[in-house]
Amino acid sequence: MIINGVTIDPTFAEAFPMKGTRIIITAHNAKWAMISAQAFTGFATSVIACGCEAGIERELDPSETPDGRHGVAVLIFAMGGKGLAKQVETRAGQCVLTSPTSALFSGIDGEIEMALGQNLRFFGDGFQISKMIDGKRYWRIPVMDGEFLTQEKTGVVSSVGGGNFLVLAESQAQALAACEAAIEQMRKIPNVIMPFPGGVVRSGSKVGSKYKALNASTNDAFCPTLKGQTNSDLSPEVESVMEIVIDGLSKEDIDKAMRVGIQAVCDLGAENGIRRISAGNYGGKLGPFHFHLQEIMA
Amino acid sequence: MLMKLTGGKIYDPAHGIDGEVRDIYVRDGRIVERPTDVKFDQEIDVRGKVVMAGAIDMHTHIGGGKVNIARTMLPEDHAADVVARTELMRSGCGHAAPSTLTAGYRYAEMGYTAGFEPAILPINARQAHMEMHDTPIIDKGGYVMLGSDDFLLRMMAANNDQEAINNYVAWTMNHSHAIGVKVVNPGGINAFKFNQRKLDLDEKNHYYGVTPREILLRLARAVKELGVPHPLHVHGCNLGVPGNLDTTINTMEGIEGLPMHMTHIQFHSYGTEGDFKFSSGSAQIAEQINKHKNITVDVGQILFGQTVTASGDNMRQHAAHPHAHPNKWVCMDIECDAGCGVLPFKYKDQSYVNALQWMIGLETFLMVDDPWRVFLTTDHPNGAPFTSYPHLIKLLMDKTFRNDVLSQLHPEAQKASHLASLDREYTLYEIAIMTRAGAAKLVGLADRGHLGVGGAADITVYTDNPDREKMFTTPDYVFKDGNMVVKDGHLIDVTWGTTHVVKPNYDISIEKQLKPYFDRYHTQKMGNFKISDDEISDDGRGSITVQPLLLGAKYDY
Amino acid sequence: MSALTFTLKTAPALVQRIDCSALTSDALAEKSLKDIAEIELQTGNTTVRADSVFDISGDDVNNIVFVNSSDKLDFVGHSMTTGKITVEGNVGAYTGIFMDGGNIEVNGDTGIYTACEMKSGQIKINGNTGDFVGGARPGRKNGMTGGTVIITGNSGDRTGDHMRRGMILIEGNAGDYCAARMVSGTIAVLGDTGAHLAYAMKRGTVLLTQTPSRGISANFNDCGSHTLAFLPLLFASFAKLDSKFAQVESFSRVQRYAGDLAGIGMGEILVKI
Repeated sequence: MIINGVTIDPTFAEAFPMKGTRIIITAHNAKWAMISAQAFTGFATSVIACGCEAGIERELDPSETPDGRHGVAVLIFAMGGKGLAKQVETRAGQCVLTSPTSALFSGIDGEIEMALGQNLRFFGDGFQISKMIDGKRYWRIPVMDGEFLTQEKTGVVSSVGGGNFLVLAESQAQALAACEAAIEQMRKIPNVIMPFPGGVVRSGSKVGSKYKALNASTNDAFCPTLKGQTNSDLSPEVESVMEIVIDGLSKEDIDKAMRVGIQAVCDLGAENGIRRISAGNYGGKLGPFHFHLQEIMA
Repeated sequence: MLMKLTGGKIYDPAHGIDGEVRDIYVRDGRIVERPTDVKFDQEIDVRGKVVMAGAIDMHTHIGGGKVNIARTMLPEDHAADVVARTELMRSGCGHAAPSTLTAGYRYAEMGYTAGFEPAILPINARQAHMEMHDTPIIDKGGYVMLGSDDFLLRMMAANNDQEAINNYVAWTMNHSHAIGVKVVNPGGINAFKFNQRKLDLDEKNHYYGVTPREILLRLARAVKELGVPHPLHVHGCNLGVPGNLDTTINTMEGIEGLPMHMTHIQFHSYGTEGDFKFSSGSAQIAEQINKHKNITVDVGQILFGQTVTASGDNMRQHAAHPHAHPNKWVCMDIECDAGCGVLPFKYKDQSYVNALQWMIGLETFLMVDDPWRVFLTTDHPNGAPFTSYPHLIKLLMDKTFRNDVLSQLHPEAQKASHLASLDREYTLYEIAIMTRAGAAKLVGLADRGHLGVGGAADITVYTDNPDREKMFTTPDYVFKDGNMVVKDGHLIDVTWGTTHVVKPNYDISIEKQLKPYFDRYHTQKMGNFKISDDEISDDGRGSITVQPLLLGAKYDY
Repeated sequence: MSALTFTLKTAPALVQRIDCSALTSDALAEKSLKDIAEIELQTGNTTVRADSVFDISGDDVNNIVFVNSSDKLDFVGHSMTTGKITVEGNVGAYTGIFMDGGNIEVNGDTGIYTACEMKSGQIKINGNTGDFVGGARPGRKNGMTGGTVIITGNSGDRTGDHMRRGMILIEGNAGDYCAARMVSGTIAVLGDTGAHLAYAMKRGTVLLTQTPSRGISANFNDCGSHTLAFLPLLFASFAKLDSKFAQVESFSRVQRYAGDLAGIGMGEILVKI
C-alpha cells in the first residue's frame, strides 16, 4: 500500500492490555490546572521504568468540570490495578495536593473503583471532612491556601497500551516535522495519550540484549547508522526513524488515533522526504492487540 | 393438696441419691413422707424422667440500679427480643437485660426456681428488692455490697476493732435484707474516686490507706463470726487484666483459711504468656482451688454473642470502655457506697482473647475436682445471658460437642489451650450438685436445692434427652412450692417466690454512729434507708424467708 | 395500571393510631386487592383489617396513594426500598423509617421522627414536619444514614438528631436544636433556625443562606470567610431536585464556624456571605 508516495508496510503494531483511569485536575485558572497536570504526568513515558504511562488528554472548559473551574483531563495507565493505584496516589499526593488552588476529580466511571483521594485525606490530620454528594464521596482537606477538594475514588477501566507506528524519513528534520504534524492531529482524538516527550520517541527498542542485565535494547534494525553492520530493515534513502506510541481506553480509540496520525504523515508525503510507515511488534505472540497498518488505512 | 410424682429417676445430691427410681410426695408446697392414709389429689407419672430439685442461680444480675441502666442504654436489646403479652404472662423484652417479668418467666421455663442478685448496693437495696419483687415465680435474694463504702473504710482507717465491723456488717445485712455479703474490687471502687485507676491486692487506697487484702480479711472474718452461711462473695482485684492470675492466687492464700467464694473466676485466671501476652491460668487456679478447701468459685463462663456487662467495678469497667460494643457506656459513682459501670459487649469466636476466655472458663469447670465447690454461672449478663445455661451444660456434659465448638474458634487460641485434651464429662449428678444441692448449701438455703422430706417442693422434671441442651432448655414439669408452673417447657401458671434473707444479730448502738453519718453524707436519712419487711411482703405477693445462721455464731444478743 | 389508593374512611373516626408499615410496595408486591384488604393493621392494642379503615382501589403497588390521610397514620413507608408513596393530607409519626430507596411525597404535615434512621431514597414534605426529622430512635447512635429529605415548610425541633449521612433540605425555618448531636451529613436551611443550633454537633455541615436570628452558639468558633470548592458541587446536585433549592443561585463564599467545641468540634456551620 502506498499513500502519497509513502509505503505503508504490511505489518502491525502489537499492544498490551493495561488498566487505566481518567482524572480531572482543576484550578483557579487554566495555567495552574495545566501546571499541576504536567507535574502529575511527568516522568511517565513508559511502564518499563516509570511504573505507569500518563499524559494530558486535553484541556477542559469550566463548563465541563465538576466544580466549574478550568481543568485538565489526564489519562494514566499501568500494567495492573494495584500498580495504577499506587502511581495515582503518589502522583496525586505530590503533584496535585501540593499545587496551589487545585482540586482533583474522577473523570471516568468503571465497574471497579480505586482510591483517588481516599488516602490523601490523612494529610488532613483529623481535620479532613467527608461529603457525600450525589452518591459520590469527596474529601475536603484543609491546606494553607484553603481547602483541597478531592473525590475519594475513580473508576478503573481495561485499556490498551503500546499502539505505535514508525515514521521513516530521509532526514531527521523531516521525520521530526512529520511526527509533529501527526501529534497535532492525534491530540484531537479523545481517550488516547501519546506518553513520550512531545508524543514522539526516537529510541525504539527490541526485545533482549547482549547484556544479561537488560531485557530490551536499541532496535538496531531501524538504526540508520547501522545499515552496514546489522541485519537492517532500512533502505539506503532512510536516514532517520521516529516512533509515536499511543495508549488508549480501547482498541478503537487507538485505531482512530493511528489513522489520523499516519494520514497526517502521509499528507506531507514523499515530497517531504517521508518514505515508509512501519510498526513495532514482537511477532504477535506477546500482545493480544494487533493494529495492522494497512487495515487501519484502508 | 397432696401430689405424687411417680417413678422418676431422682438426682438429689444433698442426700446422695444418684438416679434412683423413687416416688416423691408433696403436700402444701413441701416434700413429705409417703402418706399412709389418703388418696392423692394429683398423681403425675414421671417414669423414665429425670427429677431434680429446682435449679438455683447463685450469681445473676437481675435487679438493682445497673441492670436498669443496661435496660435504659440498650433499646436495641429490647427491640430485637420482644415478648408479647399472653393471657398468662405480661409483655416484656430484652435478651441480655430482660425486663423483670420476662426474666422470671424464662428462668422458670428452664427449670430454675431461685436466683440471687450478687451486687446490691446498700443505698440501692430498695430498688433492687422492688425489681426482684417484680420477678415472678423464682425465689430471690441478694448479697449486699460492702468494701468500697466510706463508712467501712473510715472504720478501718481508724483501726476499729473487728467487733465494730461485725456490727456494721450485720446491721447493713439486716436493713438491706441480704443473705450474703459481696465485695467488688475491694476498696478499688473507692480508690477510683481518688483518681486511682488500678489497685493491687496490697496497694493502699490513697485516701484511707487501707489495702484490698485488709478489707477482704475484715469482711470475711465478719461474715464468719456472724454465722452467715454464705461465705464472703468476692469479685477480686484486677478483673480481666492479663496476668491477674497471681493476684487471684494471692487472694486465696491471703484469706487465712476463712471461707471465701470467688466469683466469675474465669475473669481472674489470665496469664501473660504467648505472642498475644494473654494466656490461660486455669490450671494454676484450679490447682489452688483444689488445694484450698475454704474456697468456692463460680465460673462466669463467657459464651459468644452480644451481651452487656454490668458491674460495680467501675475501675475495671472504665478501663474496658474502649471495647464497648455498641460504642456506649456508663460509669457512675453511687453516693458513698460504691459505683458501677455498664458496657455493652460482644464476645466474638474469632477473637483470640474472647475465644481463650471461653476456653479458660470450661477448663476451670473441668479441672476443679469437687463439684460442690464450683458453680455454673455466666455471671448473667456479663459473660452471657442466663438463657444460655442449657448450652453451657451441654458443653460440660458432651465432650464431642465441646470439641466441635472448640475447633471453630480462633486458631491461635486453640493452640494456646489444652481444653481439647480434657476428657471429663459432667454427669447429671454433678450438674445437680452444681446447680442445686451445692448452690443451696453455698447460699445458705436450708429448705431448697434438695428433695428430702421437709424441703420446699421446688422440683424440675426433665426428659432424659442425650442432647443435654434440649433437655435443660425445656423441662417437662417445673413445680414451684408444689405448684406446677411449667408443663412441656411452657409456663402454665405464674406464682411469686419468696425473698431469702439472713438476720445476723447486731448491737443497736451502731446506729449512734450511723445516724450522723447518714445525716451528713447520704441522700437519705438512716430511718429511710432501712427497708422494712412490709415493703417486701405487704402486697401479699412477696414474702420473706429468714434462713438459719450457722451454728456457733459468735453473737447472741 | 392505576395507583393503589388507600382512602381513609371518615366514619368511624380514628380513635387509635394505625401502623401502616405493611402498606409499602415491598410488602404488597404480588398481593391481590383481596389479599391487601385482608391485611391486619396494628391499631392500639388490637388489629383491624385494612379494608375496615381504608377504601382500597387501584392496582399499581409501585405507586401507592393515601387519600384523606390523618396524623394518626404512623410508619408510612416503613423499610420501603422501591416505589412511590404519595400522601394527601397529614401523616403521623415515623414516616419513612428505615427507608432504603424509593420515594415518599407528603402533601401535608408529618409527625415526629420523619425519615428516622432512613438509609436511602427521597422524602419530600410539602408542609411542615414534627420533631426529630432524620433522627435516631431513642438510645440509638445513628439517625439517617443516607437519602434526601426536602421540607417545603418548617421543620420541628431537633432536626437531624444523631444524623449520620444524607441531606435534609429545609425551605422554611428549622426548629430548636437543629443539627443537635449530628454525627455527619448535610442540613441546609433557607429560612431561620431556632435556639441551640447544632448543639453537641460532632461532624457534618449546616448550610445557611442567612445569619441565624439567634446568632451562633458560643460553642462554635469563627473560622473566617472562605471560598469552599465543594459548595458548587453541592448546588449542582440540588439542580435536579423538585425544590426551591434547585433555584438557589450557587455560592461558594461562606463564613465558617466550627463546633460544637464542647465535644470533638468537627462540625461546621456555613453562612452565606
